[in-house]
Amino acid sequence: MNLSDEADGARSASEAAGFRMDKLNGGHPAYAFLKRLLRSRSGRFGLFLVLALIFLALFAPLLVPFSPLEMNRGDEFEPPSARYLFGTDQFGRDIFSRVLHGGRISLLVGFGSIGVAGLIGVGSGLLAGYMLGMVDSVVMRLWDVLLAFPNIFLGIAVVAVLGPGPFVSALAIAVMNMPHFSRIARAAVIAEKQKEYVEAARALGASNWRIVIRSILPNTIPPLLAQIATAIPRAILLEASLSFLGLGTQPPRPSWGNMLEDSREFLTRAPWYGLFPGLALFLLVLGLIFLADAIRDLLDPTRQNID
Amino acid sequence: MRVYFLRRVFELLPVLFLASIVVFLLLHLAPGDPSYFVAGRDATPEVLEAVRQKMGLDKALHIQYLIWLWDILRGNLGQSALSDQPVAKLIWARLPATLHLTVGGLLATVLLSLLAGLPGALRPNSKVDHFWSAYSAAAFGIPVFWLGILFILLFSVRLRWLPPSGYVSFLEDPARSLRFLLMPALTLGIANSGVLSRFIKFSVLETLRQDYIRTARSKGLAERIVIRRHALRNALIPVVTVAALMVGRLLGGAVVIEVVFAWPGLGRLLLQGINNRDYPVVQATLLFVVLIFVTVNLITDLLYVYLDPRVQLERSSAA
Repeated sequence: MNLSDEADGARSASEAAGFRMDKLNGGHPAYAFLKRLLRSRSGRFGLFLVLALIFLALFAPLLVPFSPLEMNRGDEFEPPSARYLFGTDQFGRDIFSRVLHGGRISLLVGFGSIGVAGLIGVGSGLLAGYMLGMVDSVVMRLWDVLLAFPNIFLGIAVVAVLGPGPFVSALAIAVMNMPHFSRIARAAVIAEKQKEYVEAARALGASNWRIVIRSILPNTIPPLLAQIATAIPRAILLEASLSFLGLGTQPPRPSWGNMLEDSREFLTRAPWYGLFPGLALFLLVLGLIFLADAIRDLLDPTRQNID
Repeated sequence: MRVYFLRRVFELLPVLFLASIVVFLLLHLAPGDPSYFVAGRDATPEVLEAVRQKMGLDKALHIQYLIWLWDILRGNLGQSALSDQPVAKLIWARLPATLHLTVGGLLATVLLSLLAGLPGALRPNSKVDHFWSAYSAAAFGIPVFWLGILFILLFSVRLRWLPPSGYVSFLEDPARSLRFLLMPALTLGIANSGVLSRFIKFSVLETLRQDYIRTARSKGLAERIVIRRHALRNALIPVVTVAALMVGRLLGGAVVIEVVFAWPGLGRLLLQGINNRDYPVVQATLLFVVLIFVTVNLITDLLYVYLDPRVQLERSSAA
């Protein structure tokens, strides 16, 4: 029984994900997937950008010449130079150091919030789709209500209750992403439940949870992966927006959003101030979008529409 | 159609009801005494007591909710805790500026999206296609507030062509009003055209593959007529829906844009409300935005059924 349903689940999952090729290469499906990703131009470009920015943010403390909070008296509003690569701000802080450190918040909130949204969303979606009835109605109504709030307004509502901060904005972003994950997982369960392999597993005496986790969950992986890939760049943009509005990361802690907000006051005096944090944000999001596009192309070669 | 309309409106009611509970609870989940938030900072104990009585804070939570809801349904959105003005009046005063920006943004979005989406669909894999594809990707990824800042740097600080911030009503002085609107609307338009232009491109490509296009070509129609009369007309039906759905995105983007360009709209009212812990303003504005958003989605759905009769058949047979 173990063998039959595991093999079934694994096979249909990998087939759905388009891992059928590369028979000669063999190996782990994830490895084959990565190989195919690197074969696409937008995949290579996206992966390069994203990995480079993750590297810079991760090792920021080792790479930057100044502490992001260090104020250099007398060096206020220095234009970019060899000493201050991206120039300095109104307190003489090194913008290069602050941009690298700001990336850590963006990445942490972006990946963290989508991770949490994925876990809770998928869990609730599997539950709703498998149980149906009351549970399903309650969960789906809840998501309908969340979807009635345009994204940024939901973020504002959460901040209104809990106060500003990176953790709160991550929480808000996680909450607004749950409905999408939940709906995908629910739809997959409902579709898969009627298939023969699920009936076979049940006939063999597998428990409900075993069926859901071993047989159905793997089949939800391709659409979920696509959803994760599109949700992360949006989450990062949203975190920056909230920080820009003064609702996310609070100064003096640097984030790309709050640096851009800060720079608005000094557009004439220090035009470089707003340039670099925005550029970093743009490159990260662009890389993630290219990566998401490549991933979705791989998962669904017939895909036509975006969004 | 009428049955479908009524059913859709009926489906909205529970969503709006639950959303109103969420908005109501904001005030009670926030740390602190709700009467303090409503009465304002320097309220005397007597005023506080009066507010407590009126809100029914000594009663059960669901009774408080009903009192609050009843007030709102009668159009009484409460007083701003900060300025003592009726919230309804504040919202009403800010609404034109936001509508202005949203309509301008929507126009810019649609024009830019057609400009960027059509060439790629009509000449796939040409140089034009590659150029506009790159544009779409960049527009999709660019942070809207950064784009706004770049525009101000270029058009206001360097070239001194356009005012960096402010708003003039279109009814007052159309020409000046447009000068102020140009940058914010363009910023919103570019940021949103990333999604819409790609949607247009794929929609037209898909339509060009249909059998009736082959038929039209094989009966000898000029390519221009095939494209204009058969392809575009059909391809743009789903585009209308997506464009209308973008109103939600535009509203969200408008909040940020309002801050960048110091535009006196609803978004800034909401942010001021948050920063001053002016909960009546926050609650009413949020509720108002949800109402607009949900209504626009409803209209979009109906528009889609109206434009594409096939959808109606499917839905009514399923019902």
